[in-house]
This record gives sequence, structure tokens and C-alpha cells, in this order.
Amino acid sequence: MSSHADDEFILRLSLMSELDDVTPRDGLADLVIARYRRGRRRRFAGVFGLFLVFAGIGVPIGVASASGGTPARPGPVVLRLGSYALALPDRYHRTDVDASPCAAGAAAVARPAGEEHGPAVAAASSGVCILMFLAPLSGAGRADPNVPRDAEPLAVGHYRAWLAPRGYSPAGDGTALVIEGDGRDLVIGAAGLPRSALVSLVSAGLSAA
Amino acid sequence: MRRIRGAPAGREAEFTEFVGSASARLLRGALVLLDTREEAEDALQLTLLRTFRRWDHARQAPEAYSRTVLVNVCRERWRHRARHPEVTGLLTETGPRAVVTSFTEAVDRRHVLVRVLRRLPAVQREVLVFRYMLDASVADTAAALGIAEGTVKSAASRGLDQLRMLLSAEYAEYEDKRVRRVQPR
Repeated sequence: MSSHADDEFILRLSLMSELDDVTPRDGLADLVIARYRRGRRRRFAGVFGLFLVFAGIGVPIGVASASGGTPARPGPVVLRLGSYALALPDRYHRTDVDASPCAAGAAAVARPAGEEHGPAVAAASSGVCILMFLAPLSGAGRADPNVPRDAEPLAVGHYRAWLAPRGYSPAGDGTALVIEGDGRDLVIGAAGLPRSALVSLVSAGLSAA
Repeated sequence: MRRIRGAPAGREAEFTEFVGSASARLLRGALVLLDTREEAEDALQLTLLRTFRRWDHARQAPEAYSRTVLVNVCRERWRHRARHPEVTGLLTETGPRAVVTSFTEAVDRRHVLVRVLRRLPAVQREVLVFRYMLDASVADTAAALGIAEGTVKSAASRGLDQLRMLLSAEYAEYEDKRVRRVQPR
């Protein structure tokens, strides 16, 4: 036992001495932070590219066909996607992503050019559509698009998130929240709902599934 | 809701401080777990990137968090290497005649102890790196590697025995060569 204790001590010392000259490059932290920002920009831009289409088409249709969608079911609605669950107030009802008022947004999500995407789930209330989908994976070698500089970082419950800047969506009141995920980010888009209302809704209702 | 506008600067400052204090140790650990300095540097960058992505969670115990990430990154590389053996065929040969692919690698070859540690079985190597290079406790090592504390202790003990044996052999080989050089034919 004492022999092992000696070995341990000698091993520590020897490794320290042998690897004394092995040091990381200068400015490593800055390099990592820059790499993080590049990855964030790619993911962010991909997400908002999709959302632009969703908000641009979905909002007018959502407002115009407030009574559409599948019939309301009693009780609170929980949208589940991947490892997330979003509990919504009673007035919402789950709707097929292909049904009005979310159909246009879902179609946009389902046909992102060249993107890998996950399934989408949706809920609707009168004139409001909430759509949840997993952000596309950012591909290597893709161009580094411009990022909305005013994207607002927020803490939403336990999650880090970014809120689309005001006026970013051509539809005016469409908005989106990007929840930072392990592999893929979660996007929660809303049409017909103010930004603050979306943030409150997600803060109160989003949890791990 | 807590707004964190402006918080990134503080987050980055904390992370930068952590990198300054921990990155050398992590790099040395990666150097033993992987085959080359280049691989170790890549693994370190990826480890730090993943740690930074989860900094809000990792900041509570950044050393422990980054150690766990590092071993996962190294395991991913091993699995990749197992799936693509033709790519790493040259790099896995660690004997004196192994092909040296870069100047950095040539310099690294003088690290006798590192070379010998790399010849240990994966679990023993991981345990020795965690215990004696990254200064992790038995409990932390067990948690990070996903093994029982008893396994950590036995792997450390066997690893040290094996290391002693390999170093003796290495030394004997070195002595043999030295004597042959001193006594020319």
C-alpha cells in the first residue's frame, strides 16, 4: 500500500516535470468564444430564415381564419417536442400543423431548402398560432449570414434564449424565441401574439419533457 | 423573468479566467488520452467550447464539468478511430520507428512517461489521468467515467503496477542500447 502511495507521488511529480512545457496556445479563451459566436450566428440565422417565412405567411392566415383548426379539447394543452414540453393555457387547443391557422407556417417549416429539420407541433387560439420546431442543424462550410444585431438574450425559466428583434418579421407582430438546446435549438414561433406575451407564456410553461 | 442583457461580458470574463487556470492541466490530460499533440489541442478546444455553451450550468463546478466533457470528447475520438482504422494506422504506432507526422509530434516523443501511459488499457489510462493529472477525487473520477468507486481504485492500482512494469522494460531497452553504443564491435 505504501509502495503505491510512493508510486502515486512519484507519478504526479514525474508527469508535472515531464509535461511542464506543454501549455495551451495564447488567447485560447478568446478563440473558443469566437468559435462559439460563429456557431451561434449560423444556427440563429438558419432559424430566423425559416421563421421569416412562417411569420410572413402564417400571421395573415392565422388572423383571417381564427375559427379554423381542429376542435378545442377541454383541459390544458401540452405541446411536446424532443426533450421539451410547453404547457399552454386552457384557451389553446392543439392543432395539426397542416391545419389552419398554422398551415402556412408549418408548410414553411416542412420545406426549408437544404435544411435538416425535426417535426413541428402547433397549438392555436382565436387568431393566435404557436408553432414549435427544432432548429435545423447548421452545416459546415455554410456561409456566415448576417445576424440581427438586436436579438435579445433572455433567461426563460431555466433556459437561455434569444428573442427576435422587434420589426424583424415582415408580418409585424410575428415573433420567435430560440431556446438554446444541447444539439439543436428549439424554436417557438407565434403569430398574432405580442413578444412579451410569448415570453411570459414560454417562461411559465416550458419544461423538460 | 430575469433579463441577462449585458451578462455575456461577465460570463466571458469568468470563462476566460477558468481557461487560464485549467486549460494546461486539461491539455496534458488530453495528451495522454489521445495520440498526438494536435489531437489533444483539438480535443481541448472542443471541450472548452462545450463547457462554454453550458457555462450557466458548468460555472458551479467548471473543473469537474470540463473533465467529464474532456473524457467524452476523447472517447468520441477513440470510437471514430475504431470506425476509421485506415486513417489512424500511422498514428497508433508508438514505437521508436513509428512514422513521425509533424515536428510537434517529434518533440512529443521525448515524453517517455506519456508514451508508456498511452500503452495502458483505456480504463486504467483514464483513471490515472483523472486521479494524478487532473486531481480528481475517487468519487469524482467514478462519476465522470461512469464506473464504480471500487473500479476506480482497482484500475488505479493495476494501472500503477502495469506502468511500473512498462517503465522497467523501457529502461532495460534503453540501457541495452546504451551499452551497445559504449562497447563498439
